[in-house]
Amino acid sequence: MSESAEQLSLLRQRDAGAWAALFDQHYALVVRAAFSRVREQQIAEDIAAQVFLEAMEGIGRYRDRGKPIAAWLLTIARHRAIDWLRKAARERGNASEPSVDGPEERLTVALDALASVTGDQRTVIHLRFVEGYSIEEVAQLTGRSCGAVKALQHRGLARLRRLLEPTGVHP
Amino acid sequence: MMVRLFPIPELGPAQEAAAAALFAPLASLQPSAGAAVAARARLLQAAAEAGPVVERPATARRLVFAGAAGLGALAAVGAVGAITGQDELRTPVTVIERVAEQVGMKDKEDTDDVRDDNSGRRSGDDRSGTGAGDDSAGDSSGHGSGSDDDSGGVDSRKPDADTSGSGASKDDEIRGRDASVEDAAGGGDIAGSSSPGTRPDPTSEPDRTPVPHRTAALDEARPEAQSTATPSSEREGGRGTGRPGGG
Repeated sequence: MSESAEQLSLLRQRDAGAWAALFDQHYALVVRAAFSRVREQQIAEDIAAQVFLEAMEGIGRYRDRGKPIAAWLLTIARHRAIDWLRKAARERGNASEPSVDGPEERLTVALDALASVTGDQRTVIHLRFVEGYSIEEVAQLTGRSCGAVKALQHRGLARLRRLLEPTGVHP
Repeated sequence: MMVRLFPIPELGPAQEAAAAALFAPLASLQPSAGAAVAARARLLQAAAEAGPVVERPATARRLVFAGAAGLGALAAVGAVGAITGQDELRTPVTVIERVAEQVGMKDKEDTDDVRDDNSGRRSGDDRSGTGAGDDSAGDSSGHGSGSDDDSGGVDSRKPDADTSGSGASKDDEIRGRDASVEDAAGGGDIAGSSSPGTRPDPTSEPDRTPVPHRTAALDEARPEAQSTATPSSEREGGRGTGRPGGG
């Protein structure tokens, strides 16, 4: 999952093939990460496109600390999604969650469940059960140990169980 | 090896399946093909226009931070000097002058001269001695009143000597006279350089003692000047004979 030094060097040289490969590999991941926050697919796709553009502009500042570049992309996506939510809240005059138009009810339940846990638990649960990464892969993506990832997953799911128990959904 | 007191229970297959089922609608979300193609095209176009990353050794932002850190250190030094009661400008000025020397903006000897001159102006007790010493050494650093007094003595003080010195006020006149009195009493090369015809004979005033403190001499001289309001030549003459034991 981690990029090699050669691939990172190609990205720094703004090689078109390297950036195309990175885009094809992680675009859907970034879109889903943004969608889990903004809950609008078109907005999530715009944010994902902006994320890759920002990554390409800022690849000179990127420091390889052993984490895969997908973690950097997810961080940019989280910041841009939060920026969009704040802007939308200002335009609407309140800070409430945006209304759900297209997603079905089960998707809304999943998004509410993700929104109810802490940020770290949310990241771990998203990567584990939405993206399907293993514990080791999530640990590599988040820069944590496997034990810490397991602890975050355990606490997050326990909180979800308590919150979703009245609705009859059992994660 | 890390030992956990409260081991985290592993998720069973059923629990993992339940959690995956909960988030399955989100996991099945796929971006639209049109948006993906457009975003990919924009990214590749931007990559072609941007060119490779150029590594810079030091950015302007780093230089700004370094400059701010240097100024902060100087301000801290000045604050410490102010708190400890020392001359709060002495240390920062010294540091700035050293930096200026390093970059070639200031000469070291000039810096020392200016510093000595400033220190001489600040310390009132050392002012007369420093000025006389500098003048005898041929240094023209601005304390010219001592040199004029030495050459002219008390009685032959020229009118233009006052203006060439540090001022033409009455206090300065009295100050220069006191300095000449010190020189006459202290002797040395200053006494030797003076002409015997213009300087009064020290033997005619056996009890003429050097004025220990210039400000004290001013305090002594002022009541006389205010009470008598006589011309300068008369005051000097009266001074020579009016002292106890004089004449």
